[in-house]
Amino acid sequence: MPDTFAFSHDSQRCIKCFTCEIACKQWREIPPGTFRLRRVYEVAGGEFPAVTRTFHSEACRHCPDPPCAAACAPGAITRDEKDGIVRVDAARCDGCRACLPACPYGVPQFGPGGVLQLCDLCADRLAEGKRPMCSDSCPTSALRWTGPAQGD
Amino acid sequence: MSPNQPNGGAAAEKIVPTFCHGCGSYRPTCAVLCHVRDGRFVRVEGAPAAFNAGVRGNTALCAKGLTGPQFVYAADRLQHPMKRVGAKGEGKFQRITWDEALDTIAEKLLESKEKYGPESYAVLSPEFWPVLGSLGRRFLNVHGSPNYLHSAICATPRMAAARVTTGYISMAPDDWMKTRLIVNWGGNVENSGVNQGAPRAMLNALANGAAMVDIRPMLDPMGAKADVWLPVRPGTDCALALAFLNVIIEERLYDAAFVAEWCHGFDKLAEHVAARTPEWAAPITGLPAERIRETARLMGTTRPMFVRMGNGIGDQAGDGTATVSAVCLISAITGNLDVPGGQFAGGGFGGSAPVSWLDEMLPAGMVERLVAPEAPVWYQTPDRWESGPTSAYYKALMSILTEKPYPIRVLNASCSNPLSATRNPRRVAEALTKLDFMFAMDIFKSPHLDYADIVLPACTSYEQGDYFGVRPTPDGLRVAPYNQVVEPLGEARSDWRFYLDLAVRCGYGEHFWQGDMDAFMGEMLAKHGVTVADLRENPGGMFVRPPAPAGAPAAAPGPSQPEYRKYAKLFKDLPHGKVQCYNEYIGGRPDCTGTGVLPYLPEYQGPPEGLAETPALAADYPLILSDVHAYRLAQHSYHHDVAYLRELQPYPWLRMNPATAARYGIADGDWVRVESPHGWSRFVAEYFPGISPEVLMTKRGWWQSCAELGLPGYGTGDGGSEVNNLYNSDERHFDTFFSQMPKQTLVRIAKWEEA
Ligand code: SF4
Ligand code: SF4
Ligand code: SF4
Ligand code: SF4
Repeated sequence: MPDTFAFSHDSQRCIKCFTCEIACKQWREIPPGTFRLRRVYEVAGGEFPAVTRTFHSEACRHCPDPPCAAACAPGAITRDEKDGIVRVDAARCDGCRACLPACPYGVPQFGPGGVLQLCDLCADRLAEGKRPMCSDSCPTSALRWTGPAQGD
Repeated sequence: MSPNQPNGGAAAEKIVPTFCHGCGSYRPTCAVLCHVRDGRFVRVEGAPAAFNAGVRGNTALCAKGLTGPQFVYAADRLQHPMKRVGAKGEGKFQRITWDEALDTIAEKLLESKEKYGPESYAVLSPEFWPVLGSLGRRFLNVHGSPNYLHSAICATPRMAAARVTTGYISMAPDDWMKTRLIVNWGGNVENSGVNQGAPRAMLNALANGAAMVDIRPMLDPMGAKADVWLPVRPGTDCALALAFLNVIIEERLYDAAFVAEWCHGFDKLAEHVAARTPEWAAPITGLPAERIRETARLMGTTRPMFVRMGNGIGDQAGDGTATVSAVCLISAITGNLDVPGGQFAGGGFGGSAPVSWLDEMLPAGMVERLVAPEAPVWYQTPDRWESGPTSAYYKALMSILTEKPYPIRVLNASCSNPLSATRNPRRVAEALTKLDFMFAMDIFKSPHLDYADIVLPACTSYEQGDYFGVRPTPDGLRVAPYNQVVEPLGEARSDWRFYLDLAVRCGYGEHFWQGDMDAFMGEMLAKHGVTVADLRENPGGMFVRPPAPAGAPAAAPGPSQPEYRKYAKLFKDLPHGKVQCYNEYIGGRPDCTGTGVLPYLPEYQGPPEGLAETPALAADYPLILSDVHAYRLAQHSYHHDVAYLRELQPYPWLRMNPATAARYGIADGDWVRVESPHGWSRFVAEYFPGISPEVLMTKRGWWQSCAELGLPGYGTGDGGSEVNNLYNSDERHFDTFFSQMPKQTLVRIAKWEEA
């Protein structure tokens, strides 16, 4: 097992189609109007007509030494050394949101009861030898799974 | 299991392969695997075996495609046949049986045929829909009516304009890797059929070093990657095209050998565009002359060039035919027709109908009886039509009010909401009110159904197994069925079933397999050498090789080199067998209204209301308004009831430059009253830097509510949020060849506060 699981996202190929965001939501059956584990957004700059738009798709990066975990007083966030996945213990999370400013990527989102929700790299799919749902659904291959090629 | 994993695990799920419904009913483009748990469709993923977007193993879908379950279980689904019991437009209905519904419709159809002739029956054509493209057209022919009411939008007007100019339209190069310059002109690739291959192919070409020009009013995602973005004022593309021709001809950037051998009337064209300089086009298009000139040079000197025309030009402008012709001529004179990496001829649209339309059953003289010919009657011959004869949707609806040349009496308004699909919803509502009889089969409670006499519930593609998809792949022809994922909701039925049943009740059973679905499917499948039994035994699809001609060895697998420069063949129907720089194909011949003649040369007409076109009006209405034809979170005006999609665009948006908003004291997210000379509607401001401060863009069709998010639908008349309420619908501004309607107007805006 490598140290980190990750995706690569190529902004040059991203067309802000929201597919990856919805792929995640529907596969995980996340109720609409609540939280998102993956989020598509853009950074726009300049003034008409010299405008730039750059597109991003962000989810938890499963940092090797997660700053969010360091900031979490109740110790609800842990990185599983076996599979490299950063997981949340819902029973321990007290909804203090200290993880949010600690995360360099603004990833943390909070679900029912104010509990932190994190991408788990589609552990169910990995277990079946498939790749995560979000990257598997991207129509332009801007978002690619760079983790172990299980099921390939 | 953490709360991050609300799903019950895949083990308890049944997986059913079928096709996505996201781009419309029965359009087998993206194959999906549907997961069913406890009898409920719960989630969906792409089917890796199906060569989606032509890519082996591709599991990609798009935002819409991934909301299949929410689409099926949306709260505004129709579930039972109903008859109207209140006044038209009031929305009072009573549940009836399918038998009563079908008997009533059949009776009215036959009665109207008897009293007023078969042409008194018309059918609204939604976006391309195989049900109408096969059984619907066949029904019209057997009944005896030519009145298929086509939108005058979309691909067919563009295709016709190209056909009379260069003989064909090219939808893609033979190989994007050979293209050096992509010109995306009004093509909405990141919004329409997102997973059907175009964005992926264009991005691959860019990564391969191709340059790109994007010509659209908004800086859309592909535009943000282009080398040149030309934010043309909506509706002025024809002026831009003529200025490109001017520079390319003036500076001798054209392919002189091709022009000499294959172009007719080049000198007349050169003379015609001599005054159409970039300096002439600049104040019309809102683009600096130098920018136009530089882009023309790029287009004139970079080969091969592929120009991709989309819904943004040609099909929603009163000079759409001239625009498309001019763009085709740019490709032609620069030597880009049917060359590697250029405007390849091959593939193209459609293909043949899945079953015969029985054209021979349409009574003689019926094409001449079209209520409002979409294209000139002389043009509407079997060798040219895509789906049989057509009347123009809006103009035909107006016949109900004007009774000229005669009124449509019975209307089938299925899967198309005329209050949002065409111009002037207030006049359309009057027309629907005046109809003798209207019936409609739809999946959702669309507002036009309030004017129907009989309403029928259609099921989604996920609830039936009455059709199949066919796709050529490197492994052979893939034939795969639609499989029923879940039982239909309520009494919803497939529209295939409906057409067969109605035909039988009208006494047309002998032409409709006596209502036997398998016999009908069998006939469609026969030409692929597949039977219904084969299909049912292979729910995940099967690969068939095209049957080899008798005695010949089976075709060798592997790609063959395409044939290029097939000019003699491509131009064979054009006068002199050449590209029509001076158009003798249509020039001097009757136009579609039958009251005028068509021009020989592409002439700029412009929008009926524009900053440069109507300066006096612009003093009162200083901003330009238009709308996108497609948006990636909706299919036309449907999908706003789907929560995952609606939460990303909760309100009817109006994109505006922040500088414009500031001028009117409008904050991001404020409601805005938008008033044109024709009506007023309201939208929610969305700050967007990638748009000219003089232009506003929105999207049509916000009638659907989303119960799950508690968000309303919005009306289509004044005070609603339908952009079609704001456009000029005077038919004198429509294109005289293919009836295209302008969709650009001038407006004034103010912050709108709820009373
Ligand atoms: S939440 Fe942020 S900090 Fe924590 S592991 Fe994920 S990406 Fe890293
Ligand atoms: S890996 Fe799975 S859980 Fe994580 S963002 Fe992608 S789809 Fe969502
Ligand atoms: S699916 Fe791919 S192209 Fe679409 S937003 Fe996500 S990363 Fe970008
Ligand atoms: S492009 Fe999207 S909506 Fe259209 S068929 Fe494919 S997945 Fe479905």
